[in-house]
Amino acid sequence: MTAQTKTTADTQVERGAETPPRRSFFIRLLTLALGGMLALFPFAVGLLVFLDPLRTKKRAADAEEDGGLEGFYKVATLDSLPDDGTPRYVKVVAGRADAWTYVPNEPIGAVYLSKKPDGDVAALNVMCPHAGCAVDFKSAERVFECPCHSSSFSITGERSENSPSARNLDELQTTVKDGEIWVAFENFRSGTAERIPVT
Amino acid sequence: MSGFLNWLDDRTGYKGLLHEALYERVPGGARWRYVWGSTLVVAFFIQVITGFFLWAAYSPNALGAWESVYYIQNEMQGGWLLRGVHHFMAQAMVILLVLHLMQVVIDGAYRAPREVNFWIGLILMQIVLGLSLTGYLLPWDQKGFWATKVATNIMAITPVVGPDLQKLVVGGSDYGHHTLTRFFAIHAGLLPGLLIALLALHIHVFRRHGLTAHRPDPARDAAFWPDQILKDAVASLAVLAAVLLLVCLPQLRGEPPGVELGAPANPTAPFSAARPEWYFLFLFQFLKYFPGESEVIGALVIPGAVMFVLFLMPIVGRWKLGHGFNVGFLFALMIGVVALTGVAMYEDANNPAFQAAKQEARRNAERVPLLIEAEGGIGPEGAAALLASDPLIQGPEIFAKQCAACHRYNGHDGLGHPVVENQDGKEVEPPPTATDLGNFGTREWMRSLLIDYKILFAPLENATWNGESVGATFLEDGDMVNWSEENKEVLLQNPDDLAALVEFVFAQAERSDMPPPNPELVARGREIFEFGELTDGELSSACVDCHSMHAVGEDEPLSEDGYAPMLTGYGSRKWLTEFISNPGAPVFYGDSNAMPAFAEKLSFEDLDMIARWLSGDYVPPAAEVASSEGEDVAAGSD
Repeated sequence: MTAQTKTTADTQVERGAETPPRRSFFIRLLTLALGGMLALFPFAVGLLVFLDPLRTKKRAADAEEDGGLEGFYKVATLDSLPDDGTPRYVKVVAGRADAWTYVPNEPIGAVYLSKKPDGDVAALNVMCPHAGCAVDFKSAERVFECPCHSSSFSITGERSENSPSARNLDELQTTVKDGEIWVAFENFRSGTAERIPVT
Repeated sequence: MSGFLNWLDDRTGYKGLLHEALYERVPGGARWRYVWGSTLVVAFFIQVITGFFLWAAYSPNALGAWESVYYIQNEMQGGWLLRGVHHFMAQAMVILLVLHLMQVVIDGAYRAPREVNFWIGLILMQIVLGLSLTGYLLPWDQKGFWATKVATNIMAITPVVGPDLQKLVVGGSDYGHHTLTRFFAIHAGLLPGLLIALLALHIHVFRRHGLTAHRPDPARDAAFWPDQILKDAVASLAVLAAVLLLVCLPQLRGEPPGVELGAPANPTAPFSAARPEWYFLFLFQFLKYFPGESEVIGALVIPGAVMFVLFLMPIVGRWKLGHGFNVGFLFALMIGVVALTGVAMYEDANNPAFQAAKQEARRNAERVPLLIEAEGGIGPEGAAALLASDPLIQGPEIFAKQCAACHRYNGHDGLGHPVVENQDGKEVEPPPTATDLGNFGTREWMRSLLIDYKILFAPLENATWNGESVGATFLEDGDMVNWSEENKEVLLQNPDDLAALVEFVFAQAERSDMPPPNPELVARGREIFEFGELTDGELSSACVDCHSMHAVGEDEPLSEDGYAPMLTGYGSRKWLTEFISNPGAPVFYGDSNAMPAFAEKLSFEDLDMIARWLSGDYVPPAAEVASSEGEDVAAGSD
């Protein structure tokens, strides 16, 4: 190996070793801080966008407003329901926004409607409160059954003893105007015993 | 050549790297049980490459994901193969990582100084499972959509952070565009990146410690290259062969090759056949035993505890008894997982509702390519809209919900199920109270109307209103009932004339799904319709005496102001729409009507679907079985 001449770099390293401790500490701190900021910068900007869904936005779906029925959707006619109280699966159609796409008339969910003995209409959200699958109505046994994990509910939506679901089917407010049924449709969080609306 | 290689080595030092990579010492010789790690690397490599090329053709958004996968699968050359390999190799990776874990635990290769490497391995396992979960959603078909929805709903029950975590993963409160973009970013960016980084660490740390064989025979010491690599290559090739076999298996059954693509995701079409991929079935089954509030225990606490025990294995395994416990625990776990998977499959196989749902899912999945072909492509509103507006799919659904209370379709409710009712806790099949519409609009139907009217409308006998039979008088003394009985004999004595009359009425619907009307027969039929004169005898009254009719293709109506149901365009989409809307209108049944008016009960779209279904106005199904029409035409044509 040939004898190496001292390079400028070597001299600088030696000089650096002679730097007083406080200055060297400050230099290291500054370097770490700058490096850290550089490293964190793209994550910070990216995370800001990534956390966008946590912002509470105004309602994505439009409601047909008619005579002060805000939040209610017209879903069916009273005549279309069987008199014996058998529930009918009815889609709820409204305008729906999905990020950049807006579709004016699309099913945003569904309800089971049934005539109650006192003449009112009961509406149950079809989503099973357990994990969000849509429940089926078994006409022979007159119960609702979820095909995913076998939760079962009575015809009025009460959960049976050993159903995986933590609460009953979610009941929604209804009102009948001029023979038409309006439902205050909304979705609730699944997997909880408490009814918490999805925002 | 060697001169060039030396020049390159001088500048890059590659020879040293290569030597280190290839000439690792394998004490005791190369062994088959060491292959699993390498097969995993090869499998992952194949996934990255096939994944990249799929990426070059895939579009992660709610209105294009399914469509782009459809295109890859059916239109791009080799697309089915590329997708098939990617799908089945993912499943192979799950099996391989279990084998790798088993080998490591059984051989105690997690003991000092390999604890950290073992933990890195466990994290790699989580990443691979995460890749599977995120990948499952990407085709945006019904199966992937609903199975993933369940998984993200479970995520939401995590204490404290659950709901926010779910929102971040789903990209909002509802599934949509951002769910796909996020899942895809995680699947193609975040997880592979993490995997590569951790894998590099895993291999580096592994090489640092080397292999400690159980009872090494020094005479058999070998190097990684070529001895172990050969075994690794053979094993990897076997895995690839198995994957290719699975991809091509459908072809052996006469079906299109590759992986099935389910029907496009429809958030409001309840999908009762939702199941996770087979390697998650044990979790699915496990959850059934944790009802209500205890769900969090089955979904998070117990799986978390199991993972924790796995993480503790290097420490527990320090003692001989501890190692025994680890191996025992792993085997118990494997048996439990296999048992739960088996139970899940057994319960599904013996669940008629689930099997029916699966069949329906299959039928819908096979229907979509036909609809796309008929349209010449998929419109901008996406493929889900095609199914939602297909009369063949929607018609029976609507029939079952709206019409089967009274009518039947070939004896069932339109969907193939018997109509049942609950009477005092028992399941009974109530009798129909209206006509069976199974062959509505066919020539056979027309024949029945003419000569067997009473039989066709017999179910009306069972119809009651406030306890009284609705059909009694009608069936006893209705005008058409009488006409049919009076003229049955003479019509049967003039079979050619009967066929002609049938042909004429049949022709009014202008159906495209059945053999077209014979023009000569139609002309003769029109004559009989107007004058009632048969070859041998005559009808008690001509049809025009009671029915209005403006025949197809003619400028002037044949007859007007009839009091019997109007037969203009009888059986056509238009006629059916008007009839079902208001069967009690004067042009139809008028005062003798017993059928509800559906104008208010059905949306316009639903009404149109039923009318189109009953009039055969839809894309014909693939294997069109020759209908009974074939016989009628053969009898009537020249």
